[in-house]
Amino acid sequence: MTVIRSLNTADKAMQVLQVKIDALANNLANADATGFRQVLTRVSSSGANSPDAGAAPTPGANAGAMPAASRMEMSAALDTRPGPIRETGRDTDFALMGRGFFVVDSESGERYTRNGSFSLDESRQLITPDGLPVMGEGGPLIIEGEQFSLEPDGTIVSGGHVVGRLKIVDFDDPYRLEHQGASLLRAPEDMAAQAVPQPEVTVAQSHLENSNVNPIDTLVAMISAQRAFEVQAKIMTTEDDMLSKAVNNLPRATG
Amino acid sequence: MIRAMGTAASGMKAQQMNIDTIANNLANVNTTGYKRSHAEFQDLLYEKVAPGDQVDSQGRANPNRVEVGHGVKLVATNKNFSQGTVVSTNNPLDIMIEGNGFFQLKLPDGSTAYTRDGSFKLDADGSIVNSTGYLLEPAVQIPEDATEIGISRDGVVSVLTSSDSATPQEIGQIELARFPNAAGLAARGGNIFTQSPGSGAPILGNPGLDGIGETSSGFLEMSNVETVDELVNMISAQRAYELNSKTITMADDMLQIINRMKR
Repeated sequence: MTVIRSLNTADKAMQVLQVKIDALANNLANADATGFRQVLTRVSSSGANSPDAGAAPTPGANAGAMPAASRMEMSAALDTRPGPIRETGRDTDFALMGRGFFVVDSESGERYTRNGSFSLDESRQLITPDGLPVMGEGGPLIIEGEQFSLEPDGTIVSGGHVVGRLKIVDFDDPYRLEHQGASLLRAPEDMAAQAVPQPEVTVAQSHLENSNVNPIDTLVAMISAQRAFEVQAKIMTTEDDMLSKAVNNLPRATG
Repeated sequence: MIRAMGTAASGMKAQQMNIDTIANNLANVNTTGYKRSHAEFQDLLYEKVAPGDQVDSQGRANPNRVEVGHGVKLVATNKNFSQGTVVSTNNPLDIMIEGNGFFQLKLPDGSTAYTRDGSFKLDADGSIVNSTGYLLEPAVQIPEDATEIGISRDGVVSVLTSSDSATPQEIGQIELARFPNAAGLAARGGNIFTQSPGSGAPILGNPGLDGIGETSSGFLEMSNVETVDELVNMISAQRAYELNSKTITMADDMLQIINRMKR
């Protein structure tokens, strides 16, 4: 029944839009989280009307385009664009200026992060705010000596000696990385990390990278998703009216 | 129901903590030896959801899973131990550390505390104490007949007495402590810090040696709070708070739309 099918489509669309708003709300809540990478969601529809199939996911894109009577799908991708850099004055704050990720050793394997808000523990090992060791090319980094400096290529020098070099990796499709929470990203099983060649690494000491969330874009995307949600609700009530008329106002079959 | 509400609530709570931290920095802008803090945030847990159609037109399962986060949390307030601004006081018992290191104080319970606040005084016995009255460790006692006190850059305390006003007498040595990870020290209020598992054990030494800073008598180290930076941070934190409140309004509107559907 055609009318019932479009009711169903509107229902799916509302579910999808709700998740889209949830994802946008999370981006907005993390607008001040160091090194945070926003998740871009893309609502797509397969079927006759898919005007935006194949379009790259951008914040707010096709939130309002919701063709009726087609299938609703949603996909998500990590936004890998860099965030703005701020100076902090703490010598264990590192910011990656170019591509790549810091490598962190968690209980469940290697994790990746752009959050370089590190510190030293009592044995002067470089750790994340959660106490996980930050990996150098030769394992965890232990920085002896009172003063140390970080060269732009990731080499750590203390008292004139090279202590180690930060392990910086990148991926073929970094947008497929998944959030694990606590600034950590996880690679899907079929994607391996590759070391970034030394000349391409640029790390700045005493700086941190902010999140790459743009509050304006996010808010605009939220408003348009909310309006689209409202439109779908309107469609549902209209269908309901039509159905009601069809059921109640048709001439009765009289014997 | 709508996750966005809880997510935005976590954002508002985080920004509130951020404002609290900034307010504390600003309140201590004139506190001797105060080190500014900065709130650091991290994202919370994620959930995988598959909204919309579960199978495509050919009946294949939809492989797309969308990760939706649940907001943000405060993970740490990082202390910044950079040098504060310098004020000249001309009081010999006002001592500033130029570089790394902390003065050691003996707490009434016998344990040791650490401070960068070098505004020392004398107590009734002539012992050097901090503004709260905690004894400097190792203790230095100034003789009653001392007319002038001098503290050298390597921490040697010497006095001229009324009986011998020509040759300075060495009466003590100030010892400083440094830490493998000073940022891990626990702030105890009253400008003092105590050792914590994160800071590591103190390394003691005389000023000017082994990476420990020198003492500079007649000067005080003020706070390292930059008022302009703090105000800018405060404005942006307030706006972020406002943005998250907009999310809540929006989620509320959506629930209202749903409610209006059934008449």
